Amino acid sequence: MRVVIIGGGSAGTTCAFELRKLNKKIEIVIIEKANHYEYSPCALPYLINDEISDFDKIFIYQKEDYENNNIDVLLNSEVYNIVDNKVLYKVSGVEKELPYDKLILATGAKAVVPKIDGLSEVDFYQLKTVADFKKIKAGIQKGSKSVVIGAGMIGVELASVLSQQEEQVTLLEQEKNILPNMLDKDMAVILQDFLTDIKIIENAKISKIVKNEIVMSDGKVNFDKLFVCTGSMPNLDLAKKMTLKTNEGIVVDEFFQTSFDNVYAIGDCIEQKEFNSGKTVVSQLGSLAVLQARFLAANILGNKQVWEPIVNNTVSKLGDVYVGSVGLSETRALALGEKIISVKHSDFLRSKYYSEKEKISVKLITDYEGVILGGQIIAHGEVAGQLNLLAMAIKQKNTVKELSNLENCYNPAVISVLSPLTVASIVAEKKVTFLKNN
Amino acid sequence: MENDFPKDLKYSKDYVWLKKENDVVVLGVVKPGVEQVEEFVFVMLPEKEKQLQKGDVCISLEAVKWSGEITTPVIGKVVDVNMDVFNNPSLLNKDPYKNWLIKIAITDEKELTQLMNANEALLYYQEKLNA
Repeated sequence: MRVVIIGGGSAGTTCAFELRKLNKKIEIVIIEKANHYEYSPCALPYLINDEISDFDKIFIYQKEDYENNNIDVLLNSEVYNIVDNKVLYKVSGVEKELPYDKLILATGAKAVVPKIDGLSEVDFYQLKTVADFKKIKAGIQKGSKSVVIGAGMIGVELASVLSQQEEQVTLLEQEKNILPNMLDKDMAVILQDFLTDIKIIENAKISKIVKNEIVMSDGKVNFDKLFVCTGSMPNLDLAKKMTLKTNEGIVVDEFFQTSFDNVYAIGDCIEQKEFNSGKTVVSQLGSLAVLQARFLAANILGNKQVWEPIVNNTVSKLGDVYVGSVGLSETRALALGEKIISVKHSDFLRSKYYSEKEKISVKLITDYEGVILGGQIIAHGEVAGQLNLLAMAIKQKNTVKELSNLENCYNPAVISVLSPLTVASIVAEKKVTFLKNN
Repeated sequence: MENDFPKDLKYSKDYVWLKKENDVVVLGVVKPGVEQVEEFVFVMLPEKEKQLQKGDVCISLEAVKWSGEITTPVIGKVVDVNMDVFNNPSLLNKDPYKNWLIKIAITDEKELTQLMNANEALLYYQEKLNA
């Protein structure tokens, strides 16, 4: 059997290596249009501020890794069509074809360029590829007025690292708070208090851009450098050419099968169901890409596992502050018509006598039965473990009562003896009881 | 503490402020009381229509390391509760006079005359909290 994977990013590459672990005999070919092997795109912001100092280290797999696993990689190869179970691609202008038995589209996402009057007349940066990163890194200049349009994850991370490089950063967000897909306003306010080196303008309605001036409905901002981080959308060019079924992303079933037999899709290019809402969403998370890759590799080789709806477990580091969210925010839950209870609790991250400088804020969203729907955490310390706990709790439909009875680990240098999540759970449970009886 | 007792309110000796508003009395917690608590995490409010006798526990307040109860200094029926504070107890910490807790339809307005005015409350709580 020959498995051809279009796209050598996280999803495609992980799938290739998983396939090889499960089967030593099948032929595996990755076709990648870039001139480099797989790298970690999430690492790019941290190269800008030198938190990661060695650029080469973000390339997780080296040439010999592919060779040792008998995985063929065709770099600088751009696929232009799929016909009669053959991949048609070009290398240095020369057309070639490669038949497949199973085809996997892992074509990723592309950065959105919003329709802003005047944007096409100015130079601006985006952060999606290695080339983008190199351009940004080369342009770093202390004191430079840098404006970032878009305060989603990439925009906020970029604003954070640019400010750490002592650029004067202004971050514009059209919604009522930064990280609108992750945080409610009350949690975003807490985060903003830590991002003191960034000027943040919310509810920013941009009318036009003229030379180096952004004109908004209620003000103007000048820039030396402009960064556009208004999100990314699935790369559907090939899928549409093939006439695969697509909406916002490539439509796949619970085994990642597309509308064509023997054609699958994973990673940033697909759409999938969201756990709480049941709605179809696009979600561009590296953790999902690698998890999907493992599922698909097993599926293709006959060990079928159903892919379940996602909870969008997301985390980031901004300077010395960690922020993350999972499941539904209060804003989103209310927009979906859910009746919810929310509890927010802030405390010292570790025992107060150990450190009074480091804080943590958690927010829990539950339904009226106390079933956990979502959570948000901002802290001067690791939050991933708590977010992963919440991700499991949401998927298992655990209640705050169960969460409040969790056997936590404790050490005063690590975490407070009364875990903030536990406190929030206890309070949420009281609210659930009160509302049931009133 | 000198500016902690608005002149237009009445006060009990149990950290409660009251204000007559048309047909009801609005009740909340005084600032010196709130200031002793780092952050409220839960506020248990009574049911609407609940009949209260003088001295009845009508509200429970909770912080991470403290919990307490509020007793009503007046007789009446609960007609409204502040769900904003229930949903976000830290509002009490932010402004205990703006963020009332319950409204009571009282039966005898004379009960209000037995409560302390702002000056009396200031002296009382200065002594109580400095003791």
